[in-house]
Amino acid sequence: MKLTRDYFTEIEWLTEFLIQRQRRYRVTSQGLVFDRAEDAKAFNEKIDAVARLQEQLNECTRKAEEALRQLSAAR
Amino acid sequence: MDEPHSKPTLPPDSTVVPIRDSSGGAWIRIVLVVLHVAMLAAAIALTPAGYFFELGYYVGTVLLFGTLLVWFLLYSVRTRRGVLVFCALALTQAGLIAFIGMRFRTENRAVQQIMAEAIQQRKEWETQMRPFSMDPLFEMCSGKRQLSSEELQELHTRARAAETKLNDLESAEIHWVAEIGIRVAAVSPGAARDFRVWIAASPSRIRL
Repeated sequence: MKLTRDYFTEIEWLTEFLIQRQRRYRVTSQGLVFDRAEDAKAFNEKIDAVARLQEQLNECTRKAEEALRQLSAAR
Repeated sequence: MDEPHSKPTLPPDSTVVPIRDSSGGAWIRIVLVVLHVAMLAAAIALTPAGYFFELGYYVGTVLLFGTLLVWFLLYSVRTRRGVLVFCALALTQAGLIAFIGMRFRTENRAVQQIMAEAIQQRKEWETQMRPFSMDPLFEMCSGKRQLSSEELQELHTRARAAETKLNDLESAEIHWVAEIGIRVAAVSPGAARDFRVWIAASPSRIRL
């Protein structure tokens, strides 16, 4: 549950970040391109953190499903 | 006048009837052993898959040593009463194994039902979290779409609402885990142990 909460906290921060810098980036086919290097760096750090949390959540879900399958099979 | 060499006449023993000690007696024993094995197999077959280890734990001794004992008894008896004792012991042994097997079956049904409820509950939580999907944000970050200021604001509000929703679900989950734990423990201590292992192995059961 903590992971899910962290995930949404990061998302909240990311959306806030994008709202505040609305005219300082543009959407391209390669992704977001920022006018300032420090914004790009901050964005990349945040999106990486979100991706990592997403990965951990997926791993948790996979483990939970596997454990449930084993539990059902064992019983 | 009594004759000096006459043997005393004993009253006939009506209950102790010797079984035939010829090949007929051997065949009866073989048939009884086969019937005994078939009965044991049928009793063991009542145990659901996954419970055989527990069956062995509870009645392994009765099964192994009991079988050897009754077979030895069958081999050594010479009377019909002895064969009847063998039959009674064999039936008791098979009955005990069948009884334990039936208990495991009932337990298994109850545990399966609880597990089905657990899966259903997880799906229910997943459904509740679905409106908080952040796919549009990731589509924007990967350059697939442009989001307006209002849409970004909407996602920001959604992320906040998701955190509030998570708090509600967390309390519901704590309550649910405790309740399911008690229900499973009431059915089977073994299943309760497995359930605790599952809970420990899956710290987050609420998928996005």
